[in-house]
Amino acid sequence: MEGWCKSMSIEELIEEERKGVRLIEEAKAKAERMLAEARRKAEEIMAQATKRELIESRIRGEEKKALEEAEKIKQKYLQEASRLQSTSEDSIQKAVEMVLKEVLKV
Amino acid sequence: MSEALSILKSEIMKRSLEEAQGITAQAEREAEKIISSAKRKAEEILEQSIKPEISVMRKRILGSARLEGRRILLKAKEEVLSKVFKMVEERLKKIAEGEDPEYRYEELTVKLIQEAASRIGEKELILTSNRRTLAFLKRNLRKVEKRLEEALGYKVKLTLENSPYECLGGVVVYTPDRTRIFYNTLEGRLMGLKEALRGIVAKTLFA
Repeated sequence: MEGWCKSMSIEELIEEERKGVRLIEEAKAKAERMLAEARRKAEEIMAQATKRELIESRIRGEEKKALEEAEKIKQKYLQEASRLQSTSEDSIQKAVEMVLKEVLKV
Repeated sequence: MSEALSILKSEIMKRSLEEAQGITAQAEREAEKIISSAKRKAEEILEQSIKPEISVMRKRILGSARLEGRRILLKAKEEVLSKVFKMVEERLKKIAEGEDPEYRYEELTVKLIQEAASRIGEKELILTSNRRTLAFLKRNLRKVEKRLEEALGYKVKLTLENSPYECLGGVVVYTPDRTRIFYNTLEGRLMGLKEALRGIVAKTLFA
């Protein structure tokens, strides 16, 4: 009876060990699949990089950015122009006097 | 016995699970690395292939914006400068019409004739100007001659042109044979100084 019990326990342990090995094997297989999928995706990413559509879309994006920057630059100049146009009458009058003085300097 | 077996079994399963999880986690890290490295390389390739095109495009767009901006700025400055010179012209007109209390036009006219005579350096000169100035000169020609003699140190005979000269004020002085002419009109003086004064005026106004 005791011997039977012993052999029963070893078999159970071996079975448990087998289950564990299967788990590990499954994990290894899953890992392989994950890596294969990652490599496939990587190839796809690399292939995309040289595709005309992507290049053109990126250029369009950069063009949009540049146009926005250009608008900001133009606005800055417009603000400066507006500042110049609102030169005070006092300053203008001083300039008029200065020119007059030069013109009538005989 | 049964308890010990149970502990052993759960230990075996625990180890196996840990190893399996470790393998999966390692694979996940590896996969992420592969993808992020591909993304980085792809970005580099893309960047390199479009870099020159983008650089040219940016230069074109931003350069054009700056050029347009400078044009707007110049136009604004020009408007203010034109306003100044227009106001100067209006003042000159008032001065020539004797409506500006700060300036004595008759005195100014004598000085303008004196300057012209001195530059021409002849003893016989013909004068012309607008109708109003000619009328003043007609009344005061001898006095003006006397002032010239005092200033120049020699006599100068002045004759007035019959037909008036279209100008704001000032005079046009020339020799009888018209070989030497000195335009000393007010607008002529303004025109002559305009370019030289633009920079100074701009500095005063916009500095």
